[in-house]
Amino acid sequence: MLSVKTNGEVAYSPEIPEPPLRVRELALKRLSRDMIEGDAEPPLRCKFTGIAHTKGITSLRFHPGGNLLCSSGADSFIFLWNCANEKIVKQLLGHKLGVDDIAFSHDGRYLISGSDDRTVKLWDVQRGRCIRNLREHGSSVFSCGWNLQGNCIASGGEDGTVIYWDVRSGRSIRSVKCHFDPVSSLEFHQDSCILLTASTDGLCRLWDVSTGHCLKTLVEQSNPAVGHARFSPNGRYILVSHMNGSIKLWDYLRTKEKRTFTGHVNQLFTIPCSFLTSGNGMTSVVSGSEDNKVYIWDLKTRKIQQTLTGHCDVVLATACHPFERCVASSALQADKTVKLWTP
Amino acid sequence: MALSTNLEFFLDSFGQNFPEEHQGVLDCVSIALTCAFNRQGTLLAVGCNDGRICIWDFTTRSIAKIITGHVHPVSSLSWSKNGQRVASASSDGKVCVWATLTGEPVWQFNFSVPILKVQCHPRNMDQYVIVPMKQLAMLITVGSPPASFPSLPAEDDSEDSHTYAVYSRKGDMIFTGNSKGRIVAVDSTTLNVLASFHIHTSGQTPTAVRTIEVSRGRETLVVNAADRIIRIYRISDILHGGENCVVEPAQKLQDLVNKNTWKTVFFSGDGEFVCAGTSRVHTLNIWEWSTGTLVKILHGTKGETLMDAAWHPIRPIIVSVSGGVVSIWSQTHVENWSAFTPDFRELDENIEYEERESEFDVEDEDKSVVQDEHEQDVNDDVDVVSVEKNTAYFSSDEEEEDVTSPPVLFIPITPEIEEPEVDTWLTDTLPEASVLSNGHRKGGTDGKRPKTRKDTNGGGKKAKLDGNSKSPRTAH
Repeated sequence: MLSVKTNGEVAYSPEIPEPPLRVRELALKRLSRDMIEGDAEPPLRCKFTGIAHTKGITSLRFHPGGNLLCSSGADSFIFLWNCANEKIVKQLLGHKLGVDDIAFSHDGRYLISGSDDRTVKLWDVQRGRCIRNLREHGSSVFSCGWNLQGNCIASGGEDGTVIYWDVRSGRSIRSVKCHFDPVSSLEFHQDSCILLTASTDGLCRLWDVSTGHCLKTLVEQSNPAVGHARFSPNGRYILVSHMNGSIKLWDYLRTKEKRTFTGHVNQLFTIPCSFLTSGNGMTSVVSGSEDNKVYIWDLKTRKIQQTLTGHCDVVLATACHPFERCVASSALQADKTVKLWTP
Repeated sequence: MALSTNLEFFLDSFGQNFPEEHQGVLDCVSIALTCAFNRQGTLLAVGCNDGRICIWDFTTRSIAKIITGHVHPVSSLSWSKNGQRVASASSDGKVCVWATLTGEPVWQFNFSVPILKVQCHPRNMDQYVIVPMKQLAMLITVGSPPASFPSLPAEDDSEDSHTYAVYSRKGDMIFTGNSKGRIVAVDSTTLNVLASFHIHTSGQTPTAVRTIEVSRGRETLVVNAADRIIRIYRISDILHGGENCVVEPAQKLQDLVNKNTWKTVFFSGDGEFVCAGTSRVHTLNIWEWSTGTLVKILHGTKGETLMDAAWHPIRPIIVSVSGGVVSIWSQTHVENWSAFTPDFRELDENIEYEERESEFDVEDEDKSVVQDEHEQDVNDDVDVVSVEKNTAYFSSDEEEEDVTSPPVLFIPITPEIEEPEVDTWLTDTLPEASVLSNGHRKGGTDGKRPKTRKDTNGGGKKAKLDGNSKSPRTAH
């Protein structure tokens, strides 16, 4: 779909991009094909360190095609990195204040970014241009996400409001007061019918996208602030990162905790966590930490597999490659670098 | 993958499964005449009086594509199973098949008479059944010469025309009806008659068949006849009888008060309900057909006549075409308060609360027991990768998802540049130094977060519930 030419340019094949369902299917097929049970995981090593941001880095995302990495920073810049040669392919400029969250559409053609300047911007990845400026939030935009079809965007603000946007027209469809504290993360379920929001008020909520009504609330007993919540690759579980140094895996249909991952430090920042799927069928959980490391846990045993050291400030953003065993991480203010870790 | 079993899990608790109130309208600018949902209910095709077909994105309720193909009013629309094709028929006798993604015609043919209905084969997007006015229904295969299109078998009666024809769910049979009240089940490949019967009326005169619809999942058939009675038959009963048999309907529905004639009759997505729209006014009656109870009457604007209506394949939503616009009917939403907090229970009446053991104890002597409940099972296998097969659409008629042609659930969006940003520029392989030196290193606050937890002991959820006047009584 998207390939990077030798000179670093991003090029699209001329045909209509494959439906996103196919991309996901192919990725999963690829996973199952490479599966060899029992193989030990080779440890991850730093492949490159990218320096470009002038302030702390807030969010990292891999392009669904797997060969681009996008980073956003408090310096209001958004960079697209080529994973192969650590070159910056594109720079997306337009935000007036720091960018808090970014998200690629599932076909990889577009990117959205939510910023402290209270706007959500829609970018054409290939042309590197802003094509929509969505202005309706009354506060900083802390999180944003796409539905699978790519026709609907949701963005969550510091005031706890989530706004659904029609991509086609750029108009807001609905505005829902989801939380009383900032919406720290939001994600659509793979089938686009359910939206998952997490907030520092300590709640994770599931919403019916088509009507905007609350379906369920998940809360941990001691009610710690939730820094991040995301669906598992198959959408059956959610991974919730609490700001008390624990990450929990929930079976949200049965409201049951399945796993707890601890060991990292997380008290102050909304640090995202993610699933890392690898060739031999092992799944790991990845999260940054306030002790400047990246932690990787084995999903099955809950033990720490590896910690990645090298950053010199709080590792806020991490991202996992869509189908390879590859992790990207970035840190705040004192560090400002993007690191890519591969076996 | 439009609706998962997950969502059904949540929605099941809401009870009622039929729409109750008017939600809004979709205005196609031109006068809308007919409509059809794709299989997953993500797209709605609306046929207009000026021959245009508007494809609505039902998620965002915006027009995704306008296909301009006919010059005469569109009389019927049908989606292929995978949503890649839309078939349309117009009153000037033109039948077209469109590629949904491009809006280009794939195939078209002109007949000399108006076409009443077109339907795509439920499994094969190259086969269609059409009902020309005052002629026998025809089976069309894309690519073969028009002369070879076979007509469906005529009855022994002197009159040789069909009023309606419809595929069974798998497409292995076609049911046809005629003006003499005779319904014939035909094998769709061999065109052999499998079974036939006359609608049994109380009087001597036969009644004409107006429409026939097949339910999803359940093997039933609803027949709308000119005698104002809606009859529901089991397909197994019909096939069991063979040719010229007597088949008793499983249920008969009619409006005894107003004696309405029905313009359109169709099943709900799950096959539990039957909805009928009257022909003279914009009214929709919904029955639970197994018991024959009328559960809801939806009243549209007075003075409008109903043109067409359809039930959303998955959701309890009905769309009706009337007065040139598409009206959407959906459920009245009652806020599910227990969704907002896990230990919240809605009560119909007051109950005496029984405290849990150790709930008000200063020191909990049973604590270890409680902790055991929250123990996580290490051996419990958690599979976060493999995707379960979505059974939401796989009713009894479904065996395998078609892998070769992925379904079209949406039309990709190409937003035009609305407000080109002046300060947006792109760089190819920008030298890193130039980025570093551009003086943005101000001492300002970090863009994101340090977001410390507010000290207000997480009162969010409590305020949400107590602060609302509609707040129901809690158990504690």
